Amino acid sequence: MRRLLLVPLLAAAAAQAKPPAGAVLCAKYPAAPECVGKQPSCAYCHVAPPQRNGFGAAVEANLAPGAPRPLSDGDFSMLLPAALTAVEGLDTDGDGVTNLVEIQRGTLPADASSKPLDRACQGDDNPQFSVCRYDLKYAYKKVLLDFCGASPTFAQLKAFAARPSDDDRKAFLDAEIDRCAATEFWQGKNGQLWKVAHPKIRPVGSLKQGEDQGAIPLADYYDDYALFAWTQTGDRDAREVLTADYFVRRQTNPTRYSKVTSLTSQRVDAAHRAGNMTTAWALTYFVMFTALPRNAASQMYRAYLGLDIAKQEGLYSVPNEPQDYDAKGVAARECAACHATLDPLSYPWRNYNGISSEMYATRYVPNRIELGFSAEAPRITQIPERGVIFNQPVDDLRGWARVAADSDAFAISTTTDYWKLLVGHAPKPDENAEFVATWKRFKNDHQYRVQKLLHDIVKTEAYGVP
Amino acid sequence: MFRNALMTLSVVTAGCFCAPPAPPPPPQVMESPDAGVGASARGNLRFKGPERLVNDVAAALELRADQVCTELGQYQCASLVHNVALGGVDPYGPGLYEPSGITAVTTPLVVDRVALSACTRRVDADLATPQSAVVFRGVPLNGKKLANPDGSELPAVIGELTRRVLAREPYDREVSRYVQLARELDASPEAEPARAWMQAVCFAVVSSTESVFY
Repeated sequence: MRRLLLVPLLAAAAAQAKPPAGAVLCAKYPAAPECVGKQPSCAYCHVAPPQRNGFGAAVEANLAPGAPRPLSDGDFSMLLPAALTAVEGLDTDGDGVTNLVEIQRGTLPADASSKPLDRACQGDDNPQFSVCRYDLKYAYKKVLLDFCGASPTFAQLKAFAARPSDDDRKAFLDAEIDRCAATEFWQGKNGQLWKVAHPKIRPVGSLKQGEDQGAIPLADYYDDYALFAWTQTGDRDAREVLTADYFVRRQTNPTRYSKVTSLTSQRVDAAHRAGNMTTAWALTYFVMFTALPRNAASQMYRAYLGLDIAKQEGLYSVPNEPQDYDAKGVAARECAACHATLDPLSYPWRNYNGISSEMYATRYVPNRIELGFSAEAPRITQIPERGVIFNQPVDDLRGWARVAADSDAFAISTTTDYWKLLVGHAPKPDENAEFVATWKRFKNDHQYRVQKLLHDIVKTEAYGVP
Repeated sequence: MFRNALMTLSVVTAGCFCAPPAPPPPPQVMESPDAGVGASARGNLRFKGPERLVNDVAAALELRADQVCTELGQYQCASLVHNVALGGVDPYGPGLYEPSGITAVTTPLVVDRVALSACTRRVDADLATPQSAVVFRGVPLNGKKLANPDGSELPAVIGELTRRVLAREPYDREVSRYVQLARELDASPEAEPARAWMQAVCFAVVSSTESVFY
């Protein structure tokens, strides 16, 4: 403790939010659901950094009491485990469950509405459902609604019930999933896959080029939907939504997607393509006129990895960052906690151009900053193309895409997308074991095939137990 | 030749009008569950939303999807006018990329609107061409009234409707309730009790919780 009191506070860099906190918490509780393949966000302890929630306040009160603030990151990391131990037996949100149990069960120790639900099955008779176990008839109805968009008929349900065995019914369910996943409802224009893609692509009708052209046609985002749908269907690797160096053409009546090496609506050369991160729409809308397109980086981080920096998620601070090459003031204490992650995440976009003259628009332009932005700030041309994602240095955006696509975060995010679509909500704490098993199979056993992931989700109790 | 053809046509046509359409098969009425029914541990009911709702109503009542409900006779209720109220998205205009995830205050109103519109269309069609009636077939009428509210035809069409919309046989409580409704409408000053009963029963089943959630 004495050492702590004597540590020069200059070393603390005066940071108030503590991005190392998530890693320290996970080192102490590695089996906690919040730590399996991810880390808790700042919101676990903070309302908005530096303001703490009830749990964070209790931890803070036990974190080197009396020591001058702020603590250095090193001291903070060293002392946090003991402070966490000190509050394990408390119930800071007053929901009747101790903090330790909440950490272990994946609920929030600062939110009284979030607590483990031990729901015993009543087991009484129910003429329509088997409420205590996986109900194949219930699952069949849901599969047809979720994948085909319509309920089974009375005759179809009778035929399903008349199948000789549960194994036969399960095999039939699998076949129905595959049949329905080929329908317009699932993969056609504005179908279910497109709905999954909307928040990733973030279309704007007035800027649409080509089919359904808007008033100010700038780019055709239907290409983005086509690549997304292609990577999520058939025996295809979903990671290619981030890594593809090809495009996908969509044909209609019925909808068909086919892989192509070029499209007239796309301009980035093959050597610099990174799936839906470098399409004409992505560069138009997320890069626009920006020298350092932090918006593009944070959107891809949010859309494809499920990490929203605005919610203090996925913070992996890089030492000596942010450098603030574009003189936006992001090195200020209030900004640095996030920008130490976000800025190095954004550097690989430095040569991807957004809206500009026809000659340069939505292309990879070597020396883009030097050509178009050199007068914006004294050090702006020093923005490197090398960046950092998940603490891993990458040479360029394709390297960024590779690390992102291979990460647990990508598998978790993709699985969450379809879990929400099919189960109807993000995984709940009592569904966590099934969820973790499902995303791990998606990553390890299925090699990122969404079609197989869909079958796995349908087989979960979260989906099939009424 | 022409005369013979005309006579043949007359016989065929007359035959169509003379033979009443067969009612649906009688339902295998199920005993209503008592209050002790096993409760779901998860309670994960999901609202069907715009596409599934319209697809199911259209299939059950044998309407085209674009016939289910329109505003001002031309704008689709579910896919356009009330899409967001039904839990849909509107990504290209206002930038509503994800559904709200909850049903809104106006959602039940729109569900009722869709159900009533579809049922009205089905009943109108069945009454206009009873020989090709889809749901309300074989129901004897006495002018604008049901000829026999206590006859076997009503449970038959209740069964047909329940099988089509809910994919199950009706409960005895449902049959007795809807038959009672027929008696009450028959005794009321309602101008067209038969039509009113058909619309009301159809609306009750199509807009039920069991029909719009899954």
